[in-house]
Amino acid sequence: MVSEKIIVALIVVAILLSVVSIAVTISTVNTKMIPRFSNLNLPDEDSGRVSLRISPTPEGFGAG
Amino acid sequence: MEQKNILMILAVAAVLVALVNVSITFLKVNDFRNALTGFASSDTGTVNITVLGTLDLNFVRDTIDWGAGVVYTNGTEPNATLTTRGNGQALVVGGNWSATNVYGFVIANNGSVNVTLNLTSNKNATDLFGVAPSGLSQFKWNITNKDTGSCSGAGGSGLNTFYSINKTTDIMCLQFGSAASTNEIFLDFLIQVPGDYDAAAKANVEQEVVISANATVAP
Repeated sequence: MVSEKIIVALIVVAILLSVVSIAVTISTVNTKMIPRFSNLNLPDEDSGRVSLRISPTPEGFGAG
Repeated sequence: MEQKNILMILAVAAVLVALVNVSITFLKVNDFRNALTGFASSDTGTVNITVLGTLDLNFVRDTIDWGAGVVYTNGTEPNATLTTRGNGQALVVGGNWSATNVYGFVIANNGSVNVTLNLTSNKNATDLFGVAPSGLSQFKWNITNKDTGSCSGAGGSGLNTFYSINKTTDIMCLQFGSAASTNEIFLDFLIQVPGDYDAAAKANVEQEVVISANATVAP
């Protein structure tokens, strides 16, 4: 007759294998199998800035 | 604790972990199927892929800062005109803004395909100076080729001419080249500051305009 210790050992092994299976599933599907389309952010954009400040001037002030 | 109780706990744990495992596998496989295009319902199929190339629009020179200045008010029509001229020294008439180190924008198409270039400004002349009774305020832009042949087929605007800026999106180049020797343009600005600008709201306030460029694959 099979001892209870062997049954316990088998269940523990089953749990460990299942955990490993979960880890492998998650890591494989996330990192290798699903394509990443990060370069499809169309269209491309960029920007520039124009700035100035207007100071108040006395009436009639100028370069002549 | 009795050996049977331990066995029962382990067995329940094993079942729970197995259920989690099955659930995760099911969900991930569904994600995998949704993420792929060309999923074939039959046992054979063909996927055709056309690689369009890369889009990479870049402001090589992206800042024009005139700093502080005043409008000379002793003229008959007092206003100051500030003009950038590509890689040339900028020009100031009727005011004392410094033109030192002020140059036009340089925009480059660093991608691998010709693009259509659209430009948008978040401000117009009225936003910059308020409503001037003289009507002398202007805010204009002008595209010129830095590399000959870079920009062609300008939509609403021709090359080498200053056009008033409104806040709508303008097609500036229908075809903006990507070849290394024909992929850069200048974007210059003409700003006319009226002597009767809305000083109560605008004097000594840093006025900043954001020019946004947008590139799509050219037709």
